[in-house]
Amino acid sequence: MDDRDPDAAMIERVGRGEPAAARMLVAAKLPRILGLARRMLRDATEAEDVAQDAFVRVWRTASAWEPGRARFDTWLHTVVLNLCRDRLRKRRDVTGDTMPDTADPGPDAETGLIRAERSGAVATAIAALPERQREAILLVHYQDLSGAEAASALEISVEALESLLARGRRTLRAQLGRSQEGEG
Amino acid sequence: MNEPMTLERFEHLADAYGGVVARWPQDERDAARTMATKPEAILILARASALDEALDAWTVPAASGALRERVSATMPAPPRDILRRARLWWSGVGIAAAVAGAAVGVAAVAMLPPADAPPGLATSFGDVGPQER
Repeated sequence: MDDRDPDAAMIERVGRGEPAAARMLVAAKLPRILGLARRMLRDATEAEDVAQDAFVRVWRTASAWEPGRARFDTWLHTVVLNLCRDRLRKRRDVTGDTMPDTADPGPDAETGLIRAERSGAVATAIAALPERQREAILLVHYQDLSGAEAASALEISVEALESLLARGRRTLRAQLGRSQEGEG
Repeated sequence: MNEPMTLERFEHLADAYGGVVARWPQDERDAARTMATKPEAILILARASALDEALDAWTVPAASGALRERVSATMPAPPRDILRRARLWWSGVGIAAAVAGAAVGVAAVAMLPPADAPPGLATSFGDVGPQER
């Protein structure tokens, strides 16, 4: 893996207070972190709040950013994971459940009922996974982090990550296979 | 050096990372691609890819323009010294332009002879022909 952080130069400019660099960073990273927050929380409003909070932390951290210590993208994913975990914990304390009653509707209206049903089935199956397996799958499959980056974001070894991924994917295969049989 | 990969390891990686070898750990990809030509490995990849495809069905809406604006609005104002440096830079540009303009003007005056001077011997500062005693 190339050890150079592709975001290092941009963060340095953000740290110097360059508004153009900050706008570029928002354009580059907001879609990624919003996607993670939406899938973690399945609530559009809460996910947007998390994305905003994450960027507030970016602005605070940028000037003291030390290149070479961690990749910025991995650090940002850790921040989003922690913000989402806090909200899920609070939700569990209040309602005893981590997921809202109504799932994020997503692009259902545009993509049709069947696709919406499949999307919902996957979302439900992933939500039912144990927390660490769910996070591992979100980071590697949906966020496209490498094994090493995802392991770093979750603060575990690559071997432990692979074990979480394999167990999670086995459960999903069984679960989604059952729901497809149910459709047929 | 690349050690040959066992089918067991290949299956473990497919179970973990899915059916696209390019998404597997970089240092194991070459060995995995060699293994991927075997019939058992092809089946393993096909099964993993089917799950990848099923997972891809879960899409989420993109960030709206309004959210981008909201997030951008949280940016702190640039530090004063950046603004000061920017102002200094622009005033420097202004001074440089003024100096350059003045230099061009002086050069032009030096090169253009008065209208009534004899051709080829005069500058704006006088005649450069032979001096009278």
